[in-house]
Amino acid sequence: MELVVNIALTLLGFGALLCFYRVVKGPTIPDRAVGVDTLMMHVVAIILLLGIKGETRIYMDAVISIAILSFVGTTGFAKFIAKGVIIDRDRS
Amino acid sequence: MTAAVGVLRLPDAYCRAHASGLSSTLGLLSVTLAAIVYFTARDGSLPISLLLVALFIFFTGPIGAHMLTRAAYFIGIKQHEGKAVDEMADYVPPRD
Repeated sequence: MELVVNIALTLLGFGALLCFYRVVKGPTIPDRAVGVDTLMMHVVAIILLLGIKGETRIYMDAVISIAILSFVGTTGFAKFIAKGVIIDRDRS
Repeated sequence: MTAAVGVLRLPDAYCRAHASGLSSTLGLLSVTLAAIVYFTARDGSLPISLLLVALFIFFTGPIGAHMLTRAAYFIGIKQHEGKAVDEMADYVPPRD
């Protein structure tokens, strides 16, 4: 049980490093955005596993807020890439 | 139990946008389900917040990946050479 959580944490850390490499090195802007999105997902999973490892439930609210922030950030960045504006006001 | 589900999480060997969008959703869902099972077994009560997280991830992961790839298409990122079919070119006017 403890061993499995440790293995999972190690793999997630390695995956987060790969995502960070993509963010730094990514040839285009959407590559970097995808890297940040996946990096946030890794962070959420790492926090969940730390909660399991420390046998506490107090991290779970942090998990919710980080997941929501990640989604909002990804959506806003996608709209920014596509149109150059995030909130478009003309309702045509 | 948690071991069986927890092994499913993602090391994510990164095949760019598509791979990360789908496999990270699956992996994060697996980790969340593992946490739900673990805390339910330990405390005897269902953690509602983790259920919310699982539901949220289940919806927003594919939406985020889709919006990013759509934006990447609109600004004219080239597809790699082996893929000759561009079905969306009939519907989207090329940006100059």
